[in-house]
Amino acid sequence: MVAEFRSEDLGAPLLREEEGHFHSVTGPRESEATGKMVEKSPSPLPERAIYGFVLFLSSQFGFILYLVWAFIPESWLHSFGLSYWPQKYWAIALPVYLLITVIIVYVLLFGINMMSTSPLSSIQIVTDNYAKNQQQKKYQEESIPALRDIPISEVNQMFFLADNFTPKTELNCL
Amino acid sequence: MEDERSFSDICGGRLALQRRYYSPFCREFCVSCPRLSLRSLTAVTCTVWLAAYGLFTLCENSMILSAAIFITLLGLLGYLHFVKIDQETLLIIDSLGIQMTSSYASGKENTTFIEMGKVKDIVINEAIYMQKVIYYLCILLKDPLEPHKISQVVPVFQSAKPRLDCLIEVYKSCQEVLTHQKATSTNP
Repeated sequence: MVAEFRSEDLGAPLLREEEGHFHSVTGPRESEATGKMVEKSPSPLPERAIYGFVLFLSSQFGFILYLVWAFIPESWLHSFGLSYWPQKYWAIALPVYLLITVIIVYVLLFGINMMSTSPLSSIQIVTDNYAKNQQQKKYQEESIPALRDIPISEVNQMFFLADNFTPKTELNCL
Repeated sequence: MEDERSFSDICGGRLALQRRYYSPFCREFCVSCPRLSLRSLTAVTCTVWLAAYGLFTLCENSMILSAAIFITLLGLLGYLHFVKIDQETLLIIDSLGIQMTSSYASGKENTTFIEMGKVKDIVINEAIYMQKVIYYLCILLKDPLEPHKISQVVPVFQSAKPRLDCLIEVYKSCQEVLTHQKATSTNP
């Protein structure tokens, strides 16, 4: 959605890829935009289209090469003069390794997340160095108060000890 | 003065909160978890024994069956003595300190005492626990040399894990005691 907004904004050319063909709908490109913004935005550009097509062609070529290597018997390949190939064992082994890695990464990522969650007794849940060293700005009338980290005791008093809350509304907002 | 109300824990099980007021500012809160249910005990025993019988039919070694019986018995004893907490108590005495007691199903009791000079505040905090975000009551400790910094966080009612309504009751009551303690203490 963000890319849509940006491409409309910059007037960058719209690109569509459909099953190997691509045609570009060119439009005026906003050259007034700063160079950095155009480089870093995710909008489609002609250079990126070329990169994408090169990648597509090379991946198709790699796949056909893999199929040729896996299926054609070695004697035929030798008769063509192509003799220095890896063992055909790897044609089966590498995809299996890859799939097992994907499955293990799912489990491992979940485990890493669980391990890096702080325990309930950790002080990181309550405060940290930034909150301890923050500067107190003076309160000015009729202006939005500065953003700061409110200590947990104050937050608790506001939520649970204030008399103007009814327990139902307070639990609904929390 | 004593009263008892029932609440629920974060998984939906029933808890009972018992409040005793020994004096205006010395209060005790006792959260009792449900006892070990016969249904879960028979389920675990049946699965262990069925698995042992399955292994026995594979290996034809009768030691497996005796081993399964021993494992079940020792496991049950160990669970009752080290894992299953029946009751957790929080005793707050305004001039003295806070004491937390956990009593296990085998009768063992584990007590921790924190003196009032080290207690900064008792708050309800939210944290991520497994796949949920839960509210839990915790005692913030301070180092007497640096009274404005939190030195440690001690969660209470860790195995009972009551829900927010129970925690609010305990929190309000403890805050009354703590404000009274701060008002009457001689330290600045």
